[in-house]
Amino acid sequence: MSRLKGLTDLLQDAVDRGTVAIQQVHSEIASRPFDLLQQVPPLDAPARAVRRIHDVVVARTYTSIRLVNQLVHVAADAAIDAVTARRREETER
Amino acid sequence: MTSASRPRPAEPAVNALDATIGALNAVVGDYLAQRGNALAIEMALYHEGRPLELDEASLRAAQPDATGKVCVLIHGMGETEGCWRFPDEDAPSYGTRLQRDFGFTPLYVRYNSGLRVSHNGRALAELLERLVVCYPTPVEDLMLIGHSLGGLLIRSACHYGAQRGRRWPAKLRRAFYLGSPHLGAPLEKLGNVVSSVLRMFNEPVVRLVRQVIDLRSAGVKDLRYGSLVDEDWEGRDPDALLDNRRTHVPLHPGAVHYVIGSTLTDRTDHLVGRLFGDSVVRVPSALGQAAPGDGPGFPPQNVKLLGGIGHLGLAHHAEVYRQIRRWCEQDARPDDPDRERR
Repeated sequence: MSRLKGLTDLLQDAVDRGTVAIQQVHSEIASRPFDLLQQVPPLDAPARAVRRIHDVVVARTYTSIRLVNQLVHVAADAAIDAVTARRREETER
Repeated sequence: MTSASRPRPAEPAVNALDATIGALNAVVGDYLAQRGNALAIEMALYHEGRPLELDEASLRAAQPDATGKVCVLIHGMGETEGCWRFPDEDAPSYGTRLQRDFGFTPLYVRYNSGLRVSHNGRALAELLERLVVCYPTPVEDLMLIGHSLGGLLIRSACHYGAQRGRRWPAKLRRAFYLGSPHLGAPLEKLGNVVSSVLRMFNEPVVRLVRQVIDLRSAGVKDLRYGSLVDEDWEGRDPDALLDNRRTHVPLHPGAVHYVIGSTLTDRTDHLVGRLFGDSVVRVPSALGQAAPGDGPGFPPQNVKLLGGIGHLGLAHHAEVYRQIRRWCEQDARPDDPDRERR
C-alpha cells in the first residue's frame, strides 16, 4: 500500500509540475500576438483588454487542473488509508 | 553435504512490479529519494524478492549452508537482481553456479540506481561492512560481481570502504566488472550534448523539451564519464557540456580485478562492434582502456572481450560465466605462473 501511495504522490507531482511547465509555455506563446497587436495604436486598448481576459482564463484553467489533481490525490490517499485500516482489522480479528 | 544432495539454492526472484520500480528508480530515483517517496528503493540485500535483514538469524535462515566464501552480485542501471537470471528459467544464475563450482554463498544487492554513484558506493561500503559483521560464519573470501553501473559501485565502495577503515576491503579477493562504463557511456554523453544544444534556443517549447531531457537522474548523469566520488560532481553544474571532472580512483590494491566487455557482433574487431560495443558501453570504456593515470588500469591478463553478447546479456550468459570460472580456477591453482602477476 505504501507503494500505491508513492505512485499517487508521483502522479500528483508529475501533473502539478507538468501543468506549471505547460502554463509557462502557453503564456509565453500567447503573449507574442498580444505584444504585436499592442504596438499598433488603434488596437492597443482592445488588445490589452482581451489579453487581460485571456490571462485570467488561462490562470484559472491551470489552477483548476492543479486543484482537481490535489483533490483526487487527497481522495486516493484517503481510500488507500481506509483499505489499509480495514485489512489491518481483518488481520487482527 | 555433497553438492549433489544439497538443495538447489534460491534464484533471485523479481516480479514485474519490482522490475518496473527498478526501472523507474533509474529515471527519477534521486527525486523519489529526495521526496521520501515509498517507490524509492533502499539499498539492501534481497532474498526471494524481499529485503534481507542484516542480522545473523536472518542471514542464517536465508543461507542455511552459508560458507566463509561470499559472492555479492550488484545489478546495473534500471535493473534489479532479476537481471542475473538466465532467459532459460532452468539455467542457474552466476551466483548458483559459483556456489556449485566453488562453494561461494551468493547474495544479491538491490538499490536505487538513480542516486549518485558515490552515494550508492558509500551505501554499498556500509552494507558490506554490516554483512561481514553479521555473517553467521567468518568471511574469509569476499567476491564482488557488478554488471554495468554495479561495477562502478564496486570501485566507489572500495574507495570509501578503504577511506573509512572498514573491515571488508581486507577480505575482498576478487572483483568482476561486466560491461561497466569505466570511462562513461555514449548515450549519456549524447543526452548532455542534446540538452546543451537545446539550451541555446530560448524558445518556450524547446525549453520544455530540454527540461524533460534534464529530468534524468543524477545516477544517469554520473554515467557520462563514469564518476565514482563526490569530488566529480560537488559544486559543479551537472548539465555543463561534456565537462569531464572524473577523479582518478585506483583499483583496490588488496584484490584481483577482472573485467569483461562485449560487442554485439560475433567478431570483436568488427567495425560495428568497435563503434557501438555492447550497444550501451563502448569497448574502451568497458575495458577501462584510458590514458595512463586516467583509467582504472586493469592488468591485461585480467581483461576479456567477448563477441556476440549485448549489454544486458552480460549478466546472464554461459560464455561470461565460463570466463569467470576460468579465472577463479586459475586463482585457486597455486602453480599458475600468472597468479603472482595478478
